[in-house]
Amino acid sequence: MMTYGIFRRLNVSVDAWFTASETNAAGRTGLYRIVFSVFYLWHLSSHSAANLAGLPDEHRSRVLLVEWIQSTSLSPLFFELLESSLVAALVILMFGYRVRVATAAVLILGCLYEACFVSVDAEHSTILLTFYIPFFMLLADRWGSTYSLDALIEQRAGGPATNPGDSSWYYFLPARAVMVVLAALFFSSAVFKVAFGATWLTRPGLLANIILDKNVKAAILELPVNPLAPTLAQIPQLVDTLSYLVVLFEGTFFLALFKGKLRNFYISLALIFHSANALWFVVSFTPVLVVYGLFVDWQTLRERLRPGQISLFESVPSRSLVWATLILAVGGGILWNYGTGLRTAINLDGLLNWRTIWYPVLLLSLVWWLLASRDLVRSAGGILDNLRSRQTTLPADSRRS
Amino acid sequence: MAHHDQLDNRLHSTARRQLRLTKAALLVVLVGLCVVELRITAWPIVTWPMYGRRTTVFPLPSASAIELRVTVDRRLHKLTQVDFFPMGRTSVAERAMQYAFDDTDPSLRDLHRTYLVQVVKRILRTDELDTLEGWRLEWVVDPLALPPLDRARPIREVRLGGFSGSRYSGTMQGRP
Repeated sequence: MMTYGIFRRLNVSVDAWFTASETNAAGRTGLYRIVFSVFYLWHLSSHSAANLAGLPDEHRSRVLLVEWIQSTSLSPLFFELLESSLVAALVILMFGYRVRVATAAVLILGCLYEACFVSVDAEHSTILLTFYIPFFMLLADRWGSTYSLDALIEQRAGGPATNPGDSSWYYFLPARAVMVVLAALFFSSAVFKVAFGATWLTRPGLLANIILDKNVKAAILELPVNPLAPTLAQIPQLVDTLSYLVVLFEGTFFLALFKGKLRNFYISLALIFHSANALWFVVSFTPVLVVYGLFVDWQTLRERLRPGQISLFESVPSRSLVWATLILAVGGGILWNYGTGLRTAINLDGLLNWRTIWYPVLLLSLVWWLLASRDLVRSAGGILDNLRSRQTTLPADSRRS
Repeated sequence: MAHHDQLDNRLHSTARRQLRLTKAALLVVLVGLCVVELRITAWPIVTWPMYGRRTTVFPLPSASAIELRVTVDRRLHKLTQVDFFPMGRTSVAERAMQYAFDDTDPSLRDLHRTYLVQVVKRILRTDELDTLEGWRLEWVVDPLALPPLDRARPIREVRLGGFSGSRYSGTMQGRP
């Protein structure tokens, strides 16, 4: 009975956490759908799955999702078709037409596409982009409620219009679910650094060697080297402190699950962490960036950039909009593997790559982190003041009684 | 109890079903993450074990990389691992190039040569390749210097081998 009671209370707390309101939840989730699609297309622009065709089995690891495919015998055309279909689905998702079907297509095609790559070389940062975000969005089925063709068509048919400023929890449910997964993944990273035969904290000079090794790799790959690497590596106390800080950050990232100041603090810190890794330690964890977009209030940003309602397509008939979306999707899919024009247009001819994208992110996240830290210190100060005032008033109260 | 009832009343049926579904899915994912450990077999249920079991030494005094030198219509093109796959996935290209110039197992070598010819044709957007040569470039490394090596001036360039593009232009065959 007692165990049941504990689980019931836990369930109530979990429900309360999931069902807390979030400012502009409807609008920001709708806009995030567009951000997600654009980011995914940009991510794909540097990949060419056709290069996997014919790669001998010696390079493949077992991945159940694609085990049924005899990938060695697959032609480049198969991979190109898969890639083009994914691009078409992303374009449809971006415009928000048949969002549920488009999300399912992005989830299935994206997982199949990524699993083919994973079986050859596992890149752990892509799971949020290719699986968790579309998966939880599909379960909740809400990111098409605003800024989408679906919403516009429904509204024109006399259906209710969703207010982008609606703060109802169900629009933000998938974001919270993804946040739980992200916290679990960070926690797993900390666990594997301290347990199960971990060497991270026990092997002297491990991080110093990794830092130097990464600099050698950067030089070979003709990337900018880390100017601080030799200095860092020669101060063991500093490197040891960094090792512990990394574990501390990863192990306590779950605190970001708390709404408000702590969430802002941890997310901005995570962005600084990823930026530093990409810019100076040749750690290509870039696809993870898309997950943090879930916690940006795109609706407020949109309103600041363009106050009032957007009525771009007011005079265009729905049918024309649908056809335009489908033509763009098919055209994008066809052009994706026809020359490199579309890809280079998206990644600005390689200017916006896995590394350079972190420069603006680092700048913005530093500002965000400073603001979040100030808020955190202020509220900690407030809590301390409250405690102090209670301690000083209590004896007086007791004297009076 | 009262709080729970209030909460239940607030949720309309669709949202409540979605919440239940999301919680159930999360439970499966979290249990899955505890079970899979370091394995990638169950991808996308994988953990983040980055650098957990890494054993490194101070960087060696020399480093090397393979460069593929391809001749097309008497023009030389130099390709490295980053030309094949995006960053983070380049090691497989380096391994494939190693196999293509390793005579230990000729059938395996030929499979990799056929693969390289296919991919290089796609990268260079051409139907014909004259020759493909593998070169190992070596550099002196001073890990504490900036930069740690002079990329433009390798101390050694060793030719690993070469083959004609037309000889390996056929479609991929299974291993004999």
